[in-house]
Amino acid sequence: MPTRPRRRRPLALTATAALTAVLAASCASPDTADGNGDTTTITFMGFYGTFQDAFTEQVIKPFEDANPGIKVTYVPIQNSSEVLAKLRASTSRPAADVALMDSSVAPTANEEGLFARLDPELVPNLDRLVDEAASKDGFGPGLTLDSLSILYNTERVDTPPTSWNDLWDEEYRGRLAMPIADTRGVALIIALSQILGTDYQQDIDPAIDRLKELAPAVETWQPAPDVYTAVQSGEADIAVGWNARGQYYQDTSGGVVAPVLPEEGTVTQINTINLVNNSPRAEAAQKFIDYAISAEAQQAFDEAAYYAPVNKDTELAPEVRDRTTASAEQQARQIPVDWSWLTTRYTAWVDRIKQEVIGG
Amino acid sequence: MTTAVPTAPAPAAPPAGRLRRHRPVLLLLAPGALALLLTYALPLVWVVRMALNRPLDGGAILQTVTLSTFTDVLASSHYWNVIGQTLQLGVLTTVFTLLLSYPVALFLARTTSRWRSLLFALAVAPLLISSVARTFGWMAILGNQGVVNKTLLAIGVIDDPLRLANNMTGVVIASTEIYMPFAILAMLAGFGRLDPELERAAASLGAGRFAVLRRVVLPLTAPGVLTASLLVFVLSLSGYVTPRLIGGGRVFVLATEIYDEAMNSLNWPVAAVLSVLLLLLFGLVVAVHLWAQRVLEARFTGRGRSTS
Repeated sequence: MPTRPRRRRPLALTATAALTAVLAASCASPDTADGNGDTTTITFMGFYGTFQDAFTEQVIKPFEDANPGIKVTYVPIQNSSEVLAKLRASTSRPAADVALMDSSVAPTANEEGLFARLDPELVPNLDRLVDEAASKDGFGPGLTLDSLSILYNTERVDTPPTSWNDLWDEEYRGRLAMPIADTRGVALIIALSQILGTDYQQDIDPAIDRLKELAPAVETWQPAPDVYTAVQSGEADIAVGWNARGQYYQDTSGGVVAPVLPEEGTVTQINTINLVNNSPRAEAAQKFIDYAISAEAQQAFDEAAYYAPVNKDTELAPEVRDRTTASAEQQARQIPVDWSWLTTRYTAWVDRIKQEVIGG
Repeated sequence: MTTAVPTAPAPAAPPAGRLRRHRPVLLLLAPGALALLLTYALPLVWVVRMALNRPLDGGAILQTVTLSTFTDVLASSHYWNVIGQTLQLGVLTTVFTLLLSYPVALFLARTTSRWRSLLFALAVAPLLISSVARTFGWMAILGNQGVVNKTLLAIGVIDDPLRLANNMTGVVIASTEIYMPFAILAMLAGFGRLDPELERAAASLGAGRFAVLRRVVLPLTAPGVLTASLLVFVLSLSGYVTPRLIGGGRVFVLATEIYDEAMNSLNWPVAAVLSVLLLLLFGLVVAVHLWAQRVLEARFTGRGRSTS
């Protein structure tokens, strides 16, 4: 008996060694392209889909052309929470150099030391920002301004909605798509509080109660793959969604999807662009951030994606401007919101929407 | 978050003398064990550790060691509702999958047709298509604008579209179809004892077709059915894609809730607690399965516990 195991042992050892080597090799992540010449490659985490297409075409490509020494890799992400998760998991060797994040989540990342303060010398455009986009504490500024809209299918709805209250209309019963278990719900609560005359910083019960009344009329709380395509396909006729994507889908659907700015006004949503803490390429990263918030890049990107510009010097074509949060109509009816105050309430609000409105 | 691997019961610890004899085997197992340790055990330890933390406002985490996140979750009626819906989905899906798969598996096991291989391939072919694509297919069939509703509306059977999608009904229908190939495969693997000779023998002794089915075929195929039920139940407990896509946001199951807590609410401790609860549920299911297997074995063979 003792001879047989002995003969097999080298085989077992070799197998162990080989597999350990494979494991070790797969664990060591390759250093991206830092080697060739003096090209710096920075990694940018941004939203997926149409945002990625427009941002790559309108911002990253012109930036790379103007800065031959810098390459930008786009890592698409679903939402701000995913960015937070990825950065938390890679604090010493960050998974990105620059990352987008919703302004309600960014304060958490700032506090945890995941993001670094910007150097105003390297980002001169910080001086040219509109008030909403300017950062108060030196962290990443706003990159895009968007707002919550009502979306409807123009082929299936005869009288277009004009007010948030129209969502409760009997006519739309069973035809609503309400993806509100996220930032959209938080924004909707703020808009409803304004309509109901209550202060969202004091009491959101009236807004929650109003949403509960809507629950039986809702066809889906989670349209798949997303709310814009659900309205386009007629799976739902009326919905709430972000204005910029809604405008984009209005173009691509040949006008079947139409976003509406409700007459009571709406709430602005801000995505911030941030320098990741411990980034070994902080200088190139800030150069990129500076370009992204420049008048030139903002104009190119916003005319493709319908966000409102964060740079005061940006002149959008009037027909584009009227479809963004920057329209005169929208500016006059802005419902004020303090997103950094909401940082600590966000989770509780979303839980209430899920448990009391959707599950209730 | 974690996929449970239904494990065989651990063999009894070998006597000390046998340890040396097993050394080469143990060495050969080492790479696999190491890989499992890195990819399965360590993340699991991390999840359990996270479950002992407290969530703070805004997605921050208080590093501590406390069971209070557990007690908060267990005190909330919402999470009991989630666990209830998870079990409801698991039971309904398992029952329908077994009912629909059993005849197919039985036919495939008994057929002597020369198309047998082709039929077999057809039965498991849906596995080639991702469950995401198949769920979208079901949405196109079951939705308000779907084939079923449009047809029924057109021929005037109904006035309003039936609510077949964006709720539990849709999730159960789609899940049943998605898990059928798994059930068929598991059943076929467990149908080894099925022998047409035994059926003929029973018939020759005067048993009717129904008696043959009940007293010969069913007992012989029971192990396969049991394995299939375990597989389908565990798969549907942890299923994420189908409830997410066709549940309309109304179907709250553990898998979707874990994702939402981790990715939308940024509440990692609660997500970790729910993951641990799901894991405990798996443990319970596997334990019940092992017990059922033993009971079946004892009942149909009359030999008491299987010694194999």
